Amino acid sequence: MNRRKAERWISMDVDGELSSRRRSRLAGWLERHPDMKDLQDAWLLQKKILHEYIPEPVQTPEAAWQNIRRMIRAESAGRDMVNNDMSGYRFKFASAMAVALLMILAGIFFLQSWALEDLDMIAHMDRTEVEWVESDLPDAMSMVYEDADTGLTVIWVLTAENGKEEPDAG
Amino acid sequence: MRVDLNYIKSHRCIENPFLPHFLFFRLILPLCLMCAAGAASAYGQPASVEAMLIHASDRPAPLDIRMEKVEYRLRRIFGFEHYRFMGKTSAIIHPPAQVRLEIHEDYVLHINATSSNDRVRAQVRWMQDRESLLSTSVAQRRGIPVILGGPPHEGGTLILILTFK
Amino acid sequence: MNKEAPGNDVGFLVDRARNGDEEAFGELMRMYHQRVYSLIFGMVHNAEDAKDLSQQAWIKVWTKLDSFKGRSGFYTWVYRIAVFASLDFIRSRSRKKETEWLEDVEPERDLDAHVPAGMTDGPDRKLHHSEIREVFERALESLTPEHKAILILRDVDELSYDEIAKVMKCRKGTVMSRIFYARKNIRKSMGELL
Repeated sequence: MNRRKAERWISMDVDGELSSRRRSRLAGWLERHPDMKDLQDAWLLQKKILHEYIPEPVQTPEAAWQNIRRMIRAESAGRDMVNNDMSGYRFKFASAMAVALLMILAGIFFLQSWALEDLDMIAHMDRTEVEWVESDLPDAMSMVYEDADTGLTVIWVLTAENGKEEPDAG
Repeated sequence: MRVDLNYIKSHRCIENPFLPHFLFFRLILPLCLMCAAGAASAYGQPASVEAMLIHASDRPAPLDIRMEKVEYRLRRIFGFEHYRFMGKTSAIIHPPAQVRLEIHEDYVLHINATSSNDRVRAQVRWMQDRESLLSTSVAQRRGIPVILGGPPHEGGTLILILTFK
Repeated sequence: MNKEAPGNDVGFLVDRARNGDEEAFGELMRMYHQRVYSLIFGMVHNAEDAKDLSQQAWIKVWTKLDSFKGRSGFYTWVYRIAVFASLDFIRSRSRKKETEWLEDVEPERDLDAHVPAGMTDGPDRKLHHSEIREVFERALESLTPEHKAILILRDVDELSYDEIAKVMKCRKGTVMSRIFYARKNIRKSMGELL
């Protein structure tokens, strides 16, 4: 077993997710690598610190419940009021909504081409535009992408040397 | 509204001798000034450029408080485990203008900013000695960083975070 | 840790709450209040935000009770709502800060001066509790929100990898690897303190 695998097993062992067969293998390995026992201790201590780090809630459960109940009632009352007010007008409202929907669909149909361009333009407002990329590095290839998580533009050169370390595109 | 051309002609509006002055001072001059101001603002707004050089690899890097806000974001984008701060540099430019920035002892950035309003348009050449590691042309919104990277370095990769403000 | 109340109490309370019984819902809320708050606090690191977010999460639980099919445990479902409410909150907060991330990095800073107390003095130095807490908070803050959530679900709520996978809607392998990297990163950030 290499150290990397041992580290993963130690983490699982700390969580009690290691099978008994693997646990005994890990124990044997740790006998031969006592320096790695520190890691196990460190992660157990980390667990303890995390427990202590989380404070008691600022509200008692009862106080929190009173607050939540007030909010729930306010929300239900609001919903009932809207329902009662709407009951007489439901048919007219539904008709109006249907007409509005038809008009919107017609509008979308006729304005689709430029509207889509416009939306695309808005979506691109914050993006970095990249016109070209070059590199003198031997056999370099370039790639440009937007990171899905952060939205940041990444301009990357791939070479024979770093080909394996291609970033997680996307 | 219907425009009565006969009325205009009969009142000699077109032949009015003050009309060219009126048009010039009230319409043409302000329009020219607005265009000039627009052009000046498009090309002349100063911009500050900031660049930060980072070495990304899977080898353990020493704890560096300067990487505190950057490291976890980079880890979200790239697969490397460790990120080491190598240098940071900044300058103010008044487009159209060129600037040469040394970052770390081995790397130089040549930035040719052609215009700047809410976006800064610039050609960036990231050099090591006389070799261009990465050259690009970008139009970047102020304050939004762009990440350049890929050049291999000591078993990892160099990453450059470039921001115009 | 017993995550679910004994017997069919929870199922019974959920059924009553689904039929509009506020008191039953109150019982459920009191039962999980502390755990939901802890989970959210661990992710947002602020008592007031945690209080507001846990209230929002409970209101969402109430309004969505009809959609709870009972395929997973009630606590799994509640945790999922709490985790995703916190993730949304953190993302909206971090979007605001996304452009500010290089501003505090000064090129000429003396590194040692900014290393948290205790990290340069060797392991023998006795640290105050507040110092450890501060360094730990910073270490936790350096994790991605997803890593934080999984670590808290594991170490504080003591959920199994399978349960965490259900809450986070991801694979068990992802849970395992996220816990591992979260621990490694915290250890690295805390240096000699761990």
